[in-house]
Amino acid sequence: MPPKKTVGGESTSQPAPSAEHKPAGEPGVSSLLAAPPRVVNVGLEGFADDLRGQGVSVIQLDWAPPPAGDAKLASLLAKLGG
Amino acid sequence: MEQIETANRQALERILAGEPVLVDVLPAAQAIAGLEERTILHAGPPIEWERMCGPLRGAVAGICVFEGWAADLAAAEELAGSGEIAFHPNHHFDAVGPMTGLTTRGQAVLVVENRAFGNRAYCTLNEGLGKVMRFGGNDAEVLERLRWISGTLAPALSAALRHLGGIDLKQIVARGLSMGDEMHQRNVACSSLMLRQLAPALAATCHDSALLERILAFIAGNDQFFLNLAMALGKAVMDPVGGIAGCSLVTAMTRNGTDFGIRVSATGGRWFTAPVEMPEGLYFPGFSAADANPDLGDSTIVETVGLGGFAMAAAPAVAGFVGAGGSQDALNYTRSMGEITCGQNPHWTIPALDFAGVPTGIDIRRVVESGIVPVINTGIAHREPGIGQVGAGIVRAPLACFEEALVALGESLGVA
Repeated sequence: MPPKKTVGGESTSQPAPSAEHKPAGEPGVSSLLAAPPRVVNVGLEGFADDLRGQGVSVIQLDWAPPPAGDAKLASLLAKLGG
Repeated sequence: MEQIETANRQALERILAGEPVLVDVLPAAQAIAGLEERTILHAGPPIEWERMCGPLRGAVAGICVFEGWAADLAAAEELAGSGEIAFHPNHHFDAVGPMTGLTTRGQAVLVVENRAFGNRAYCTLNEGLGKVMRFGGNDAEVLERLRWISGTLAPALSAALRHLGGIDLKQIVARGLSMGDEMHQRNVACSSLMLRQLAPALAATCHDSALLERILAFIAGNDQFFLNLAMALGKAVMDPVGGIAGCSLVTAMTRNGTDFGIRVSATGGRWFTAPVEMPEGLYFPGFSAADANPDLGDSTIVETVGLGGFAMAAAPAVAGFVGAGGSQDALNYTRSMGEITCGQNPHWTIPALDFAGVPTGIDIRRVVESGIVPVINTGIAHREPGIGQVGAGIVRAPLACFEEALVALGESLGVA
């Protein structure tokens, strides 16, 4: 099984501001809409592949829900390379 | 874990290197070593008479009459429950069988040899559609057809195959995938391709024109004739993959109508079982889900080798037949199986996926991690003995089998 990919760059510990506190028209939102999209895809890589196919830069985060919340199996998978 | 990755690469190489060839059709008593009198091989993991489902009991009763072990069905049921009949899985005898999957000494079996490794696998011949023993049918018509298959059809096919020197099944599957077959619920292309190869040889070796006509009509009239060949192919290709230390790939999936069972390479012949699921699908007129038996048959060896539900994208017509949606859904089924397999088979490609190979090598780690379980295209049997097929659908392998197998894999590697 391929090794897990990780996301580089800065972490964002602050929650994203809600729309209520960041009304449209603020500089941050304007620049977001004016600049090319910056995308992080979490989970199934097919979505990232589709975007890459259209020339969009994508950071892929390989993630899946833990197996049915079973800590013993999750631990075993970690040891077996799952 | 590097040992697992190395073992899995070796296993995948063995799967891809397989060279399954139909070499003969022989009496089971001659072909299968250790198949004794009053022994019945059945589909699925081991099961005793008391826990057998209706169709399996119906077929057992029928085969006891066929073999001459009982005078009628009532006596046969009494005999089956008496302890005088030995029941074993087909898989323990290098064999597989569709649905109830019964194999006994008096029947004929297809002999498929994996010429890359020298092993052989066996499967009975497909009886056709309608009321047949694999769906629990057991009346006089069913038994008479079985007698014709073993006593007349099988020797004729044997002569034709010897005349040909065998038929390469891998190549037929490759062509069938490009013609809309997935080799579990759709075999019309592969059955036709088989007939094209067999017909001239039958004409050369069978000098009774009336018999020749009947044989050709029997094969031509059965769109699922190739299913049993695909199953023997799957068994012949997957058996050499068993017993590789550390290998996390599935070598067999099967069901007996009560339990679903899998085998994993690293743990050899050990079965990991869970209650079998109910298929979801479409029913023939006059039948409904209330009539359905839980899933059964060794035919999931077809999915194990990367065909059937795994190759659904090659057969959009099947998605409709089994009530699984349209062509986009067919593509998605195959793509999702790619999430739980370790490679693709470059010999068996799918045009609708830009000639990607079928997803191959089910890795139990990926199944447990993702929660995505193998998808299986299946026929649906009536839950009462003697009635037969009532529909077709899809069914999922139960996750519990894979979780149990993962724990055993960890133990085999000293990882708890």
